[in-house]
Amino acid sequence: MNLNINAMFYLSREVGKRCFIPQKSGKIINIASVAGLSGSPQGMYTIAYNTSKGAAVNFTRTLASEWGRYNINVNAICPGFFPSKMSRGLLDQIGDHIVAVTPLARLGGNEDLMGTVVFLASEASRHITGQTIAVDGGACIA
Amino acid sequence: MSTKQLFDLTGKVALITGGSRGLGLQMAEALGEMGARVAITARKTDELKDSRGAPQGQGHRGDERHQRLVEVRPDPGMVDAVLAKFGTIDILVNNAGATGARRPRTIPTRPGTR
Repeated sequence: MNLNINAMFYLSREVGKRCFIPQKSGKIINIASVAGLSGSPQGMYTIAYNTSKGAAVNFTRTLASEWGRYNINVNAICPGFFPSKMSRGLLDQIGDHIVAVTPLARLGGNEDLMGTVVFLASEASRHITGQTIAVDGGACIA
Repeated sequence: MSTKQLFDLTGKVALITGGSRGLGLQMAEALGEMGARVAITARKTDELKDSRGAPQGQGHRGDERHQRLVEVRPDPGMVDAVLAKFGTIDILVNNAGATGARRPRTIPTRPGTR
């Protein structure tokens, strides 16, 4: 909880106060997770993680509504399962099941977040704030 | 502004927490390729060093600084370092995160620092 949500708040406040609010522009991109959009699949016991990521999603909405007046965009990306050091243990156990229930039938790859983060960091998304984009092969809507 | 220009990040400064590996590194490289100057933080200095050897886009990776984000006190030193190097911050990616599997009944009343 401290790292996943408290640090997100403290650093956003710090950068907002010192840079974004004075310059009347800024982009905040919070990396939440599809775990922040629902409970967990059977066999996965990550209540603290899901709680912190759910908090990140609504933190994004609330900060967006409070800092919109400073021309600051605040959005969230919810990655699904990407092979990484953090997810390795879990994917060893339930990776096959995850792929089976994902509409695009794949895990996230090492280019799959690039377009989304560039979009949210750029002027292309200037009229979008408080939103959450799941990058998960469709897993969270299946 | 053309559509290509709308996606261009030339001259922008991005700070990415947990940028030394995994999703954070992927995003750092994407922003760098689009022209941003990128500062990354990580809890482990050896991983910051390793990430310098990783393939980079046309942009360049900037200040890399050991930072224990798990200590949640607001730490002005980290932002100071980025501002000293780049002058400002335009893009903040709050990426650093941790997970751990634990059944509710086994979680202590006072959880650890994660």
